[in-house]
Amino acid sequence: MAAWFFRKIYSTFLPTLLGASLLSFFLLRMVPGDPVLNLLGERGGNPEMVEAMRARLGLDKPLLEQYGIFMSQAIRGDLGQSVISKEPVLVEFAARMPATLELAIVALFWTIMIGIPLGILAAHFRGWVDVGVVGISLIGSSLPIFWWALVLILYVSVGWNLLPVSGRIAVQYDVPLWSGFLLIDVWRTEEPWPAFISALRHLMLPSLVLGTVNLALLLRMVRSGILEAMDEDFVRLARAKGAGRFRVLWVHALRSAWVPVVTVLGLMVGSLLTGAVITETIFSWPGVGKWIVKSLEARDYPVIQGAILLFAAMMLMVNLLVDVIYLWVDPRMRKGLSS
Amino acid sequence: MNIRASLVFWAAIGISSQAFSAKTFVYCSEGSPSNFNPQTVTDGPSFNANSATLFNRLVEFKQGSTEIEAGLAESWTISKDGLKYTFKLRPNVQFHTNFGFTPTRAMNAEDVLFSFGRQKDPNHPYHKVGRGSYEYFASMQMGEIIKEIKKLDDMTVEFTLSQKEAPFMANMAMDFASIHSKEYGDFLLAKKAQDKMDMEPVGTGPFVFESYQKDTLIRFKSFDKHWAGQPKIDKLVFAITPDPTVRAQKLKTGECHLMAEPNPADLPALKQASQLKVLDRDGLNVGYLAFNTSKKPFDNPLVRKAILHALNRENYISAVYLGNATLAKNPIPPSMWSHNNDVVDYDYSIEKAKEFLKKAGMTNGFETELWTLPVSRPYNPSGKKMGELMQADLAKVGIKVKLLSYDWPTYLEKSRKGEHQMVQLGWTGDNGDPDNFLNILLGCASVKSGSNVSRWCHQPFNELVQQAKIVTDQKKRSDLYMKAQVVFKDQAPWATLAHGRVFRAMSTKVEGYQIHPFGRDSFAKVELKD
Repeated sequence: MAAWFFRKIYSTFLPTLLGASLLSFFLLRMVPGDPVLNLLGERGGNPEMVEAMRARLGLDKPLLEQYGIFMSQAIRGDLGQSVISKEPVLVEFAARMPATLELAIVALFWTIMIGIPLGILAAHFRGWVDVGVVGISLIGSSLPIFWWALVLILYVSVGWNLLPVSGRIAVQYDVPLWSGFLLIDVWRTEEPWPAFISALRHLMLPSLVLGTVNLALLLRMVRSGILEAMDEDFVRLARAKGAGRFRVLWVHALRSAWVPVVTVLGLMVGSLLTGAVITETIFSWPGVGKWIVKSLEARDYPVIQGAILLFAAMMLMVNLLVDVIYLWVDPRMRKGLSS
Repeated sequence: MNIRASLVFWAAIGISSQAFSAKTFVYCSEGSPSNFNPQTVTDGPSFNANSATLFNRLVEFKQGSTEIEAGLAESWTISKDGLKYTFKLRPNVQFHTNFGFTPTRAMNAEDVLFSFGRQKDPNHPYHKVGRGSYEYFASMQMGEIIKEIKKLDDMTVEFTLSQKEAPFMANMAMDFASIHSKEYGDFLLAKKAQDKMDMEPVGTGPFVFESYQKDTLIRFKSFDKHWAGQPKIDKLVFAITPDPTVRAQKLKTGECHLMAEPNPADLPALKQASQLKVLDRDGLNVGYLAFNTSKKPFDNPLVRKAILHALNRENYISAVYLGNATLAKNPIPPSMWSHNNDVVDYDYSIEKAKEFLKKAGMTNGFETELWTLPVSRPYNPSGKKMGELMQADLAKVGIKVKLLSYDWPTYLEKSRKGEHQMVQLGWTGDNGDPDNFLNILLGCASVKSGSNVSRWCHQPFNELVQQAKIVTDQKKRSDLYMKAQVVFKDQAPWATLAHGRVFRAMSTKVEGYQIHPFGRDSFAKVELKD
């Protein structure tokens, strides 16, 4: 196991990170536009001044040297400073990641709690239940996110006044950030309950919107996984030896359906961690997705390079975790490892 | 979750608690500030959060106007040769007490030297903090214009200029000229925490910084020792909401009291809502189509005139701006002093356009490119739509136009280098001086700096504008600018398109708010009625 782990680290982890850093660095430099000119906007400045400003950012050095400086600093844990805010990239990232994580966890909660039971239901009952569930899931996966978000805001928030339009918590609650997770940080204030409920209310719509597409996808994965397994020999054998319909479904078919489901869940977690740009923008959610798109528009090189490196590392971790879970759910893979 | 627990849960969720404490004013702003130091930022959302709220300048723009009034300086004198500006500072102006810092003295000349020194002097202890880029100060060439700043006594400061500069007083009211506390600077220096300067601001402004949660909320409280009197609201909250439609919805549900930059399409609904009101005013801006006069065939004024006659610009006002703009005749908006209303505009006439093309020897027209603005601005809400209309108009006189666009930074870079044939662009003034439009966008020096995207260096025009810069008498300046506008119209380096109107929507409870011509949102004089 330990050997397998270390092999993963040096055969996959490090080369991928190096590749991601190279690719992000050089692709970014190939895109026209420049952080200094962007800062100057419509106003502009004379060429000497622009050059001096570029030099201050180290952009006048040869590309390879710039890359060398970036990597040597990155190895020591310094991802540089944002051109826009002039703050260290890591500080900016750490300030935004908890919001993204909080939203992702709640969205994933919806996805799993609704998606898996519905998928099982559809596979179990077939007929009109199946048609209904699959139909809804098809609609769910083809909804344009921004439209769905605005429709929810228009009816749930403005029309019926049930939930707030956007933000993380009502402004009257001044919750000092400690962990960055509002659902946790509210407990450090004097009157936690109203603030906690306010934070939850603010989470509802964005997490629902963010979870919708994934929910639809997961539901169909579970359903098709089970249906596929139902045709397998081992399920037929289980039936033949007299196992009840319920037992066949829950014990035999579902377990074999886990493998593709875990894969999809891993991909979902990855995409949720890198931020949900549209959801974050519409609901004014202060996460990493919106931050990196804004930085991209402004050609904030240090932020984009740093964020891509961090994202790549997170994706790799999630993949590693998925691999470990495979070992756990699929005995065949454990065997492969030991041989 | 069992049924009873879930019922309790949903009941709790259903409790709507939208009540604000009595005098908390919530402003739905459009974006996060880059930081809290107006010296180092260039964008409107940052200026709203720092210079308009936390800081003051020696002189200020009057609320809702481009005129200048006394700020931290009580009075000032200008020497006869126009090179020495002496400011008499206002006594007993207090800085905020914040972040463990308690000021021991009122604002004085040291603070003025400290604030400008940081931007001008490379050896200033704070010059290199935050990378030492002062884009505004540099692009206004303030470093070269200001030769020396001297403290005459504790409450008197003298600025010596290296050349006559008529817009200098207007420049002193701009955001980058905000006054910071030297004492606070020394306090941070002693703690070796200079980096905190730009994120933990201490100023003299109407509000004191409380907290900032990135991309979410900025909290301020009113400053009880503000020199111009304590604001009438107790707390000020910026709820950062980038999507304009969402901002409008938040306003409707009462989650905020005032919203920045409403989407033109949302205006009718906002105007209809009984609990809301919408204010508007002429924007200090201009949207234009620039011809690259360094390239054929746009080097020929006849071709430019032909295009001006061919464009149905009235139509753009209704189709693109939805009527929320006035047709632009001059590069400067009608609300600005020296605007020349006697200038005769090019009317929409296909015959005249064809005639000019014939004179230019291009009876059959030609093929060219037009770049459409990739961002939405008050001076041009939809570059693409306007481009399509222009394309159709020009096709009628035989000019085949290919539409192109790039993302914003690329668009700026390429148009500054003059890679375009025709390009849509615009400008929002930032100090209310005509020089801020006519010289920056059309002067010869700006060809080099890139902001003159028509790359039009026409000596008769340039001489008038340069002369107006060094004459201090306003009447004479005005005459020079009036003449310059006549030359501009005759030479037609741009098709002037529109001056977009600026809107703010707010709750009917809001009183005392005025739209600032430069688009700044300031809440020092705002009240919330119950």
